Amino acid sequence: MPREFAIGGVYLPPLLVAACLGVCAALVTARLLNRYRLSRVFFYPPLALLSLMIIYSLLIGTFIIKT
Amino acid sequence: MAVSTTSKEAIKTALATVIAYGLALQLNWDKPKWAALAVAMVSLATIGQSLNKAAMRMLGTLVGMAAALALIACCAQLRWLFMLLFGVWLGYCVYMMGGAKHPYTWQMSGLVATIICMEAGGAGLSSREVFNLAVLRGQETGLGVLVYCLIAVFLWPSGSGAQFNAAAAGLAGAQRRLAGACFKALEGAAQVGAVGAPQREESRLKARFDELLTAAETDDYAVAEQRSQWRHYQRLATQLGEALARLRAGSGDAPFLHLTRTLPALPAFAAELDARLAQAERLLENGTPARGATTIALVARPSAHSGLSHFHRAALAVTQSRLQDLDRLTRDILACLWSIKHHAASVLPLSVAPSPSTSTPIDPDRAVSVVRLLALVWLAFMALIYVDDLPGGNAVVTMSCALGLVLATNPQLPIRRLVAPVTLSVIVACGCYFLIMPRLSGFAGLASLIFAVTFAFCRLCAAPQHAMGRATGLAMFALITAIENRQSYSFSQAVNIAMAWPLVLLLAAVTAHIPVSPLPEKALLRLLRRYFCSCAYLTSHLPRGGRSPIRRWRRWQWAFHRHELATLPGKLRGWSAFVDPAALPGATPPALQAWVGSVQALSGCMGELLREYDKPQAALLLSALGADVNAWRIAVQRRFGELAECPAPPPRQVRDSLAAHTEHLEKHIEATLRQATVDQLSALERENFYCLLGACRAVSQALLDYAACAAAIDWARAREGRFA
Repeated sequence: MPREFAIGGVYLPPLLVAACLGVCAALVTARLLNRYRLSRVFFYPPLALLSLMIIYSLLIGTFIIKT
Repeated sequence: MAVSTTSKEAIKTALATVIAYGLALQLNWDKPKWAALAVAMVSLATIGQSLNKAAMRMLGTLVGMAAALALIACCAQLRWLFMLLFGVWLGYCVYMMGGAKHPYTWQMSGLVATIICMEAGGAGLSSREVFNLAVLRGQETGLGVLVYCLIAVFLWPSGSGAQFNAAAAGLAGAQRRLAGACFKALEGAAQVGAVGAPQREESRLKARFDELLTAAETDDYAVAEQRSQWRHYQRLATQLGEALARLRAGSGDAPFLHLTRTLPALPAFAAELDARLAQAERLLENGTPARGATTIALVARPSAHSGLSHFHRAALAVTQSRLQDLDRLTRDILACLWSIKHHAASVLPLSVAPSPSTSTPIDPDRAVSVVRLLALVWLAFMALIYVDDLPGGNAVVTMSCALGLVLATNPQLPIRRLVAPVTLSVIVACGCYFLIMPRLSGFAGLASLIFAVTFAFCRLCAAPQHAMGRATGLAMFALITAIENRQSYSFSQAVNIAMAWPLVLLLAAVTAHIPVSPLPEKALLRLLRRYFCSCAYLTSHLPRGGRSPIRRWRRWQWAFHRHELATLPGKLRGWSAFVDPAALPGATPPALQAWVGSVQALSGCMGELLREYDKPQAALLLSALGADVNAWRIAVQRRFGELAECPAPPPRQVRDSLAAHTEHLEKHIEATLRQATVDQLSALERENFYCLLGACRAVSQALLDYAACAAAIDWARAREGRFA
């Protein structure tokens, strides 16, 4: 069952929480890839970042939050 | 108790906001937030700056109103046609915003048209209601502008006059210090690098002077009466800055020329110039009468040329020409300031030819801004159409447009820097809306809240670098609180607006990569490529004997590349301030400043070459040396082409490729001049030839300097992909 998150009585949809966490995880990954100079292996890093955001959001939504 | 200037300004803005809200509520106008937004946006440091911005905001609002009504009248029921025409109008506004004339007017024209169209579309208004909405927007803006202007004029008025006079005196002082540093470098008493700091200070103070001149013309009668003289002084000061930059670029030859020996009057000339600029500074500070300028003849010692190669003689001729330009300019500046301080009406003509006009119909960077903004707004449109219950609804398009216009003005601004101010502003505004406003029972309480919040934002974000935070905070407060006479509190409405911002920032982050990367190092590579392509074009199409290109297309191309040559160093300077040394090894601030300085110097030398190439040359020299000069030109053109592809070639490679041509040319010159008789070569022709030769040499030298500065930076890393 999808679970809603309640913050101070305000219910947040699980997909929103998954998307926020996914964006944060993608940004952290991008920062690490930049730091270790691995971002150069991507043909077009902006598209890779967008893909990472979507992949992380789906993974977090499917396996952690269970939307 | 003494109140600081920043507190006074904050009090003025807060008071004007309260009065604007109060009047709009008293008159029972809808959307009083528009009046408050007008106050927040036009409140600047001086009355003149505020009045100018207020006039531009009002004019832009009126134009935007007319455009919105026309768009809705033409195609309100045709969604795609509306989007197309709306995009055309918005694109036009953004393109015009990048120009020098009334950029804020165009910004407001685009924004107001978007706001009215989106409000009308979202609420499904009838044609009469749309008209009333447009008029309401004009009224509210007029009210906010009027209230702030009255407050600014009557409460702690801070005119631009005093600041302008201080800026003018500061500029004269900075130019004096720059001239002193240039002469020291020329005499060999200091390194060329020591000129960098005074030159940066001069650029900064010149920008400040330009900004305050426009403001002082509005709020200072003395400046307004002598507007034409002050504009004349502005042109002279610009030319003096350019002449000093050229002098600095040529100071690399100082060790070979031994100028204190070849030009014995040089120290006296430098002292005279220093005295003139000191007079100018004093005239601007307190208006004391200037003494007359003394003439110092810069004649080379008769034996000076012996022992010098032809290229060094050419460098000497160019240096003399540059010094004569400085002599004329400083005389003109003194005469102009004298006429200003003694209220003379006449405007003296420029004695040094101004730089050619750099206006051009197409600017690639402005076109990029247009594409980027349209991508953002159309993406927001698509989201509005195809996503059900989009947070914020129509406001997403309006917010995207507002953000896009800000980003078009500051293309270097990374989106991530907006996250903190937007988040904080939303939190403060939501806190006021949910926790404080429901407890208020009358306008007195509401006015106190508005005053406190506005004062806090203005006081905490008073520094110029926090202007974005101040504008964001005040705008968000007005948007989220949505103060009305019949105040309602809707949790979903406020949260929807708050939720719309992450979406808008995400869209902006995505579209920032359209059509080109927003990363500073990529932008530097892109601009540098354009710069060297323009240099290559100009070198391959050098005019001969004053003949300008006949075909219109060729003339247009010529004007475009001249514009690029003149404007790209400034753009490179702007982007270089945002480069992360971790992403571009070697790109430390001093290295980048030296590198941009070398590009600027190359621009100056190219400008000089174009001028000298235009002068008539002796037929004998043309026939004997034309082929050699042409070979040098082709070599430099090829080098420019290579630099467009690889911005940092090894300095030795550049030096070797140009040295071969230089040596060859030197030998031919020697042989040709030995054979030439007095009848075949007049003194003027000889001077023109040496000036041309000197300009060619200066370009070669500037290229070498550029290669040395660029080698300090790891440009290969700039080509690597990186996450923004």
